[in-house]
Amino acid sequence: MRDIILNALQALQITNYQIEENETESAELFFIKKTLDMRRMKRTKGYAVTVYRDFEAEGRRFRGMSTAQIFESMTPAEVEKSLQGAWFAAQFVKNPFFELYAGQKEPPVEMPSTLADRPLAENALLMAEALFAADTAQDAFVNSAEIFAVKSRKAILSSAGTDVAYTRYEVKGEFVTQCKAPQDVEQYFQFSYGELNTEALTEKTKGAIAAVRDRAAAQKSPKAGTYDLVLSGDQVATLMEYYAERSLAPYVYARYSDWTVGKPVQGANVQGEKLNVTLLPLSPYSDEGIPMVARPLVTDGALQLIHGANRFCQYLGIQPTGYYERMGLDNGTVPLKTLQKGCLCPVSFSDFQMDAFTGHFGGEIRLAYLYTEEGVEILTGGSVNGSLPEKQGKLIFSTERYDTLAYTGPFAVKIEGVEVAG
Amino acid sequence: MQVQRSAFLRDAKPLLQELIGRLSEKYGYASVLAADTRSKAYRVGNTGVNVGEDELFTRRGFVLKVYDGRSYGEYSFTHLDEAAIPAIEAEVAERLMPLEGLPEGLTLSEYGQIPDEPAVLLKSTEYAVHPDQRGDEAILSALTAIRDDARGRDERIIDCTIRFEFQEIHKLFLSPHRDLEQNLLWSDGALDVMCPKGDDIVSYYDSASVLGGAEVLDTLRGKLDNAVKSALELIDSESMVPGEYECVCTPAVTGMIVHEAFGHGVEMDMFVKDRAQAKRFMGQYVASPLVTMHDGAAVKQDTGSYFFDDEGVLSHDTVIIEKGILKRGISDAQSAMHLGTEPTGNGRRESFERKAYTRMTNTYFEPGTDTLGDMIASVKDGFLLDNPSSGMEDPKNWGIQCMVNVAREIKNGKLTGRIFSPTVLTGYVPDLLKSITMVSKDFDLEGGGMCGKGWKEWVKVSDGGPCIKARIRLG
Repeated sequence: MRDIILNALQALQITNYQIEENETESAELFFIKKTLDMRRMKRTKGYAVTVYRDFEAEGRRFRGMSTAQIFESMTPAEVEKSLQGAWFAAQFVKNPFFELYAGQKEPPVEMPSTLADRPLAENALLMAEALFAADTAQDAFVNSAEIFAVKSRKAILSSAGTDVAYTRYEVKGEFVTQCKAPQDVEQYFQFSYGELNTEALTEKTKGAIAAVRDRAAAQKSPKAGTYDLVLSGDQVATLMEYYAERSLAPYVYARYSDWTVGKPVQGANVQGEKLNVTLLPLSPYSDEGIPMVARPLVTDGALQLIHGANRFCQYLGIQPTGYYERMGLDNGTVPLKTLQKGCLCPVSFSDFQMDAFTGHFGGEIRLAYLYTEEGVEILTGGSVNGSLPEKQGKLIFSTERYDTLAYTGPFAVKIEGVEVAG
Repeated sequence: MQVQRSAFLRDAKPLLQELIGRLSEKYGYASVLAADTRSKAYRVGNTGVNVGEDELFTRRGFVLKVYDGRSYGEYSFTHLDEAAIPAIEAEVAERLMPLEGLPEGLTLSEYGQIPDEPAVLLKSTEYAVHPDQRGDEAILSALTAIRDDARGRDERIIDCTIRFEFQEIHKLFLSPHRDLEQNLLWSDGALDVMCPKGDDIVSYYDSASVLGGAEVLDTLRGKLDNAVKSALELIDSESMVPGEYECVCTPAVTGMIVHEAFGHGVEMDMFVKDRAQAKRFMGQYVASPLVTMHDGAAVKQDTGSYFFDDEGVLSHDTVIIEKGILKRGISDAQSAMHLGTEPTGNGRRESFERKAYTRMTNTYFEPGTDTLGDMIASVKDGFLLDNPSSGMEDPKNWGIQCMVNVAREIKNGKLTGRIFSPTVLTGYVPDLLKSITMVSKDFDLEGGGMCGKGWKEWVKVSDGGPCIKARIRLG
């Protein structure tokens, strides 16, 4: 198919292009309690071809672009027609001129992973075994689970010389834990690993079962008011996305963000920990073939990098970095137990959100622990509505760490004075 | 005009029939869903212009479903020709169905065979103007004109992003006794007016949708005035004081409550997993007698419409709540088999690459007899809630988590002009639905967004209804 696409591009005299080839295999297991309800397999291949068309208008130089999806089952005539459609559309896309990212031919990269050692179906079954290994109690248990073992291969070829490819493995999924008494409740969890990390999944399930047992015991909502809040796990990762999003090149170019390198993005008066955030690669190349390396984003509360796709970085006159999907946080000074004292600690939300435009974060609390001098109160209900720009000067992070495919850093963060609706 | 058939599916059909024939000799049941979908998305904003085929909506491939006398397996693939058929058979026979090495303590489900009732169907939806016919240049010109209009109205508007998208869907479902083909076209558009508020950006988003073509651009244009006005008002918005208030919800907010707060709770794959409280409330009052709720791909013409679902079940109109009483849920075929009920044509896949789940289609409350003016006049101290921004389901506990962008204060029956944003709706779903005391004659259905199951499995749906008045806890 790659040759068919190249021939069609030549026939249409399209000289600027990028071809992205995506191949995916997966083994998928769907459980209801401990019964396998459905098994699935997938083997797919597809191509996204972006064509670039240069033109001048009103004395300015433009480079329009449009993407066509090409399928394995297309005939050469269909491929040519599809690319012709994209080429036609590109002439109306009046974007300022930019150069394509000029890469080079590199040997294919096989990303090392223990998941590469055995067939996908076996990986999926081993993760199932790990997930249910912690499901031993009668009162609280795994209600349902979905497990996906995936092998994906991506190749990127462009008219500017880029010719790279890599293969990546992951196991990911979700599961729900349930506890029926004293009240029937559930908790939802996701997981994703780049390795056959069976121990981590067993530990996660163990924690998930303990959490749902606590939620079943929770009777009261927190009283409405202002609390010192400790967020943990995936909520910390979501909160920190504020810094990665606000520093995106397209946001800066579009004036959605006024962040510049050197700006004290955590505010001028930081009384808590100064943030140290690093963008981390999940794959060796971006979708444009840009080599991905770890890059400091925020150091001691000051922005170090505007990052993003080639086009926007060129418009801003900075080095293109590609889009990052993982973040590392080099913070953490206080043990979790100390951090929790006197705080409301929501550990589960129905949907925790952070709006990068406003810095507002919040969601409905599914399970929270209120640590007071009298002891620990288990709570459910109510909602958090906070503003990170207002509170970011006093953040304190735990020394305990948390690792997922998308985040590595402190497990918890303390935020002072956040509004909670009861 | 009617949506034309797919030449690819026409050509692939004999091969697929051969494949199903061969698999049927070995397995009790085999079916295939073949999809050939094409889309194009247009977007204009400060980041520039984008035109292209969307990866999510432009797909071509197949999913086989096979029954081995006990359980079901599925195989999704993209490569099909005469030579590939033995390899596909081998994949199913050697890798998918044997399932070796199931860990100790885990068992395999036991299902009956899908009743493969004979059916033949070939249907297409209608459109006024196909986006291809309107053309790239004209569509981009229309979008740019709306955007320029917005930006020219007030210098505080830093951007008005605007998009238009369509999807032409061709699907073929084949089993030993069913031969179904459908051709659909939906289009939608959205605009997002943004203004700075200190270091932040506030925005007002609105959308329009149609089971049809580029005619939706006119509807989108009609939404601009309110979007600009509201975005500018949001600059002076205040923080909500948490509490329980009398609220009037616009049809868009009603739609979010219908869909997120209640609709997900009657998806019967959740009944199978014991994850939905609704299962225990069948035949009981869960809402005010003013409330009648529908879901169905056949009941309205919008982005959730189709003639048969992704498991080959014909579309329905399901009355879920009738005058406040919960009557029934919606289901996919496999969940219906598990529960011993009839499937309702709600088995949907994000694409041929994904599993089918019970999903909503067009979901709404029926209109009532009140007017919006009377509803506002009846509120002593409360809010007019508008512009939903997000929502999350909680079928197990019927907890509400919905966010609205605009809460307009009402005092003594009049809008005061004060706006509060953002606002979180919380509480217990039946409490909210039972507190409904007024339902308007106005009715609006909107299908500009997508619906996920949990945090994945995105499908197009529409939702809406009339304005409703209820007591709601806000934060």
